[in-house]
Amino acid sequence: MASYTQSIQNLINQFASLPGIGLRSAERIAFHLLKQKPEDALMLAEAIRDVKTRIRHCSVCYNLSEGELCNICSDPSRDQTVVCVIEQPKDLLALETAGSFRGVYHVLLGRIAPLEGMEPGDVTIDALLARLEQGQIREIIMGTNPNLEGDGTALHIQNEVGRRFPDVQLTRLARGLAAGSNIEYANKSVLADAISGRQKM
Amino acid sequence: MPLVADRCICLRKIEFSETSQILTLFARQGGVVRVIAKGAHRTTKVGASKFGGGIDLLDVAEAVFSHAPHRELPPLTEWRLTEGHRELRRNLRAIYLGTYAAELVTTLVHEHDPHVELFDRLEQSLREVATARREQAFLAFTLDLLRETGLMPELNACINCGQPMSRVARAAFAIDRGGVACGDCAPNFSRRVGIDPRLLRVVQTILTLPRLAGQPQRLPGLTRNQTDPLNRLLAEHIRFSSARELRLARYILAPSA
Repeated sequence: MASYTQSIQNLINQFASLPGIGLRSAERIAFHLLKQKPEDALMLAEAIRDVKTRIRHCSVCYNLSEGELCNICSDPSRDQTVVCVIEQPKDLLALETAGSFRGVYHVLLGRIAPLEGMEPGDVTIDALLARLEQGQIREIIMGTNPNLEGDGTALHIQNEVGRRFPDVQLTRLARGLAAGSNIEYANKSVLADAISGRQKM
Repeated sequence: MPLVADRCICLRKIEFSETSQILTLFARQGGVVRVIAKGAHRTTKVGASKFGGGIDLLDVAEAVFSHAPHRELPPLTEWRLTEGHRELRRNLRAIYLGTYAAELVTTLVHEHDPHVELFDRLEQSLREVATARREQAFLAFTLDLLRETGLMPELNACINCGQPMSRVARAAFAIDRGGVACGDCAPNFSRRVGIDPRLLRVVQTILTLPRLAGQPQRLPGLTRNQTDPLNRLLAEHIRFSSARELRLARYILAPSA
């Protein structure tokens, strides 16, 4: 039976190992690249090389960055006294899309998930406490995901921060109904959150 | 493949691909089952979602899934949330106790082995760990879990000489023998942890409480000074009996948790 050469099969396997790409899609992408001009195809390889060699974590907030500091930490117009704590850099991008937060971030690079072996020492809580030691921060907004592990992580940080920095205000992102959604489709938890977190009009 | 409707508690979840989840569920009638919730995180613009936007640990729901014990991951087709544990989520200790209870069930209950009473006990205990009664509720649940799975250690009398624990001043739990020994016999067992015999009497009290619909009534109020040594003992016993590490045990025994 005819089969692909080793290098093509290797390329297909590499694409198929990416999230959301199955074997058929991997084959299509591989053959698309084979049809491209060498310089165009190699641009993809260069882009991958670039991202793996140049991207690192911001030394302050652990966001993805190409320099010592990320764009947000080095932006003088951002309010450095309000820090939103999030799980992953992609959460930061989502919040930035909203465009309504002018503070800075702290990326935990995960969440405390004991069942999966993720412990407090595996996320950047110590670095957050070190930032608080500098005394500039007046509010921490807990922006971890609103699930059991995200809530647990927020409570763990609340305990640590509350014990060592009692003057720092701790807040949690609001939860409840999403704008543009329908009440009839919301689950019981979301509705309960929405009712308890209702706001004065 | 026939569909089964059952009340379920989510014991474990693994995010799979962009929108799906692999779940370990404790089904009231069907025991522990593993299913895949395809498109669990997928929602329409108006918020419609097959599984309410995603299934979380300890969530309780009326679920529908394919009954296929031979198939590795039958699909979950419906998930109507009935309890999202809002109160539990506000207390770190409650989160750890609830998650530990889920870990214990996953560790000790075999797949497709129904335990209706245990399911009811877990559901009730998850509600109680969100309250001030959390310590005694969790201990009572652990004892019921061990009794139901046939792994209850001998805590009533010395495993060596048979002396009742109510009459001894000192005692130790022999981990590899699954029982307590009096102070005189304890040195015969190398793998042992010391335990105050008065705490063993607390266990006997809990085990003999009157029950209503399977739930123990009038649980005595306990503090962590009382429950921590017992939880430690039971964790050692479960670890030895199951030959598996318990990830949450360290968290619930930590002084700050």
